[in-house]
Amino acid sequence: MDVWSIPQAIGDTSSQFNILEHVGLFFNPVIMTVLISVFAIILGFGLGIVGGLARVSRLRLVRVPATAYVDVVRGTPLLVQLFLWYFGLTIGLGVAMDPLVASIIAVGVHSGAYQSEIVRGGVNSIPKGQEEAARATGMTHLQAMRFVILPQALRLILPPLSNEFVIVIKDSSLASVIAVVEITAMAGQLNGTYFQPFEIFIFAAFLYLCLTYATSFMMRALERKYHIPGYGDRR
Amino acid sequence: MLGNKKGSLKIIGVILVAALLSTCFIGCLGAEKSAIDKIRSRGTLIIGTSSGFVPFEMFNASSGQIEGFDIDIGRKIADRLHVGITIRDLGFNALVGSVIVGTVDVIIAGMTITPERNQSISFSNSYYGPADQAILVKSSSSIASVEGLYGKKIAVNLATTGDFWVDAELVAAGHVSASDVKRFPYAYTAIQDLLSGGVDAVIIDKPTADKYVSLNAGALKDSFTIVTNEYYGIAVRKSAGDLKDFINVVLADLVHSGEMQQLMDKWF
Amino acid sequence: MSEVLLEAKELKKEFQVPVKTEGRFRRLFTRKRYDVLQVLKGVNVKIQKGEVVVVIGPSGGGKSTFLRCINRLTEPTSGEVYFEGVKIAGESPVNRFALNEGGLWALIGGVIGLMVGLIFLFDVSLLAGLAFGTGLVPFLPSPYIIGFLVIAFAALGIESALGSYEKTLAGALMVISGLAMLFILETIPTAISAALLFIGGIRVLRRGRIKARDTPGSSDINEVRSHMGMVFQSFNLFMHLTAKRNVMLALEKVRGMNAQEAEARALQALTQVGLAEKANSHPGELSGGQQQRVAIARALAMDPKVMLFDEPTSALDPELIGEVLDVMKRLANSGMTMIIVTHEMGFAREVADRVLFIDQGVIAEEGTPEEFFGNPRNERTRQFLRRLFAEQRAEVPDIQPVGTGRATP
Repeated sequence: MDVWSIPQAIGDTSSQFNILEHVGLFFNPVIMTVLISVFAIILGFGLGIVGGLARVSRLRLVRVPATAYVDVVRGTPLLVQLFLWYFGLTIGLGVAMDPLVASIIAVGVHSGAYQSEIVRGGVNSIPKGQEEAARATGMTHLQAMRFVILPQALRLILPPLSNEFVIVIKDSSLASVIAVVEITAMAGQLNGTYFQPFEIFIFAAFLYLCLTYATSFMMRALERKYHIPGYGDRR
Repeated sequence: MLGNKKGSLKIIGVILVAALLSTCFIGCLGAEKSAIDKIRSRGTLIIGTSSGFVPFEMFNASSGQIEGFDIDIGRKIADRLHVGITIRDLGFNALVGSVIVGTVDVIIAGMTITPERNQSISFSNSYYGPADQAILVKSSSSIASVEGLYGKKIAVNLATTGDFWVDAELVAAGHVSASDVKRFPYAYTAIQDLLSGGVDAVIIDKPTADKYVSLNAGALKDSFTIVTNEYYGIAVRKSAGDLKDFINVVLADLVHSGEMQQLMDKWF
Repeated sequence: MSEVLLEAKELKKEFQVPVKTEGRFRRLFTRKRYDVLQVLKGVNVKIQKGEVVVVIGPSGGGKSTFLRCINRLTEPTSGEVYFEGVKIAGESPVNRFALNEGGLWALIGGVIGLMVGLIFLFDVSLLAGLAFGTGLVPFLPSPYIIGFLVIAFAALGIESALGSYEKTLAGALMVISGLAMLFILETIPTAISAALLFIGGIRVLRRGRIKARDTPGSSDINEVRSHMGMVFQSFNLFMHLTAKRNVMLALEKVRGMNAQEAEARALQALTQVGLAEKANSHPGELSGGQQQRVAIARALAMDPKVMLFDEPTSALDPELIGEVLDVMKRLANSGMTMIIVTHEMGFAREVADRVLFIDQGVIAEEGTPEEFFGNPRNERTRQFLRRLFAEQRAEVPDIQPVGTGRATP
């Protein structure tokens, strides 16, 4: 039964394999990769703000768990965390966990730890006088954070944040080991049929490059849009 | 300053939420559902498999789906349960753990019934067999016997009976060093390594080896058969007795009605 | 006889400084880590309404620390501060963390009750009981509920960060994710309980009602601070906002004014300092003198009862000092109560009702400008003044500067 045909052999350049014929196969996987990346970035950002602020809090009750979260999550491999979330949630909840959701949670929580540190760095680099001036007018600590410190800090951390977002996109490839059919998984399966690793994996890499470049581009546009006139210009 | 009035509202709110949560919970965490009930209420049978094991499960580039003998059997089971199928393509070594935990309902992956596996999972009656292991090499290779493997680099599919055989017969006996054995989660990666010259031979089930030979138009050859008399079964977790019985009924039915023979003709 | 607006009693402040030990290894094994630096050793002063008090002194003497203890930007170690007769700093029998206790205990009690019920009545494992009881994992196990909560809290985090301007984006995200979950849901009651959990959680977070009441003193320090304006040596303008919005921010968030009222008041304050045309400029586009004047406008807009100035001109180029001092002079003449820490002696002579000399943590000398500059009693005061005037004399050789109020011999 001729379901498919494998070209002659590795290195056979006359083989009829053309990766461009199979581009359509990657359509859904790209959507999967984008879904994982986008939601993991959002989740990571929310956790990053909360975690970053918690890390600089005066209250030990708040600061210590946040530090533990960051240390543990940064200190263990993402792959291991992925398995933990996927299998752990299935056992805990008693139903088969959707691997897509598990991937989002795992990558998001992982990224959240790094984004916490980025946010913390940003908040710490805002001069103390800013918060003092805000408090002196009668604002509470949270108000000062929200209206004075964080807006400035967020602009400051856009470059390292953009770096982290690119990393999340690449980390999404790990979801392939828990059976999410995203770009890397599809490339592997396609190669398992046609055994043309160069064409197939270079194409997969190219797809990732498109995604990461688009992200970097958007972040740079954000940097330009939110630029504070007269502040922090080195260009 | 605005403390007390809002404070009491907060208390009422918290109690309300707690009460609502309790009512929810009482409705849900009741009886333990049987495996078949869970599958029916979910509406889909989650099949764990490991693609690259032709023609049992493989990726069809034209349709973009995973297809094969095992998949069709899985479909027939799901049809009789009046549900659809969801295929989880994992590394072969991840299958047993997944079915135990519950991320997949059944394993249909050309998995051999062994006493060791029987300790952690339950198998249905066998649906294919007997099968042996084969030594798969490049057409130009001179390896034609078990002795020919001594000192060579070998690739296997991780956690398969082929893997166990290499460990027991070659590595333990010292004929092949452990570092020369590459274990891949997916069968097709082992084949890729053979084609690129990373290993000298692949030990894999004979039906698969023969199919790869026929599809690879002269690049590979099945040079030797290692007789192991294996039988494939469908695996479920130990607590899913009802599902196992159901599958056995379906398998017997498929043989009786001739559908099993149709599938064999289609794929082999 | 004017009423006493501010009073400080026996203000003391210590700082902990790391001890410098000799040798590299000694440091690892010595137990004592901190030395105590007594910056304020007991300051007593009464300030009346409408008074302009100028504080001078050598660096490290404690004058800035004293000022910052008034509005508790620096917390005094002991002593008391009274504002309009109410104690705002000092020992008080009030508990350190007087939380919104009712709500917190109800929450804890509910969680424990739920956990106990789960574990004993329904034979759930301890870990699952913990997860369900704390509401971290909703009950009807649909993984999409988790996804919903996770997305929702992430959106909350984003909204907090973005502030009111981008709230619509976060709000839309929450609504969309909520709707998506509703479609995928298996039972309605879980959706409702999850939504209630979410909403309740957000309300608590945003209103911040579970917050610690400040330790000493019996009135909310934030409220008190809104009646005191402070101007800093390094201006501390909010760099990401225009001058106008700098002034408007506290009006909107602390006073609760709506945008139009705040804008009107802000423009009024900016006009008072002579910078109405720069309302839409960012601080980065303004000169130092302009920035400091905006800072003064920011403090003035809140209608403070007292203005605190911490070396307002020390960071300015000499030619810009004048414009700021002019604003301050006008303010003084309008009857504002002011406490000014400064080195500008000429200015002090012109506007001060009283001069304080703080040295080594205590008020070494105080008096009217005539008494103080004409006939200082304390020897250290005389030394300090001599040194100060010598420097200033050296700076200005022959030229008689106009309008800066500098003293020339």
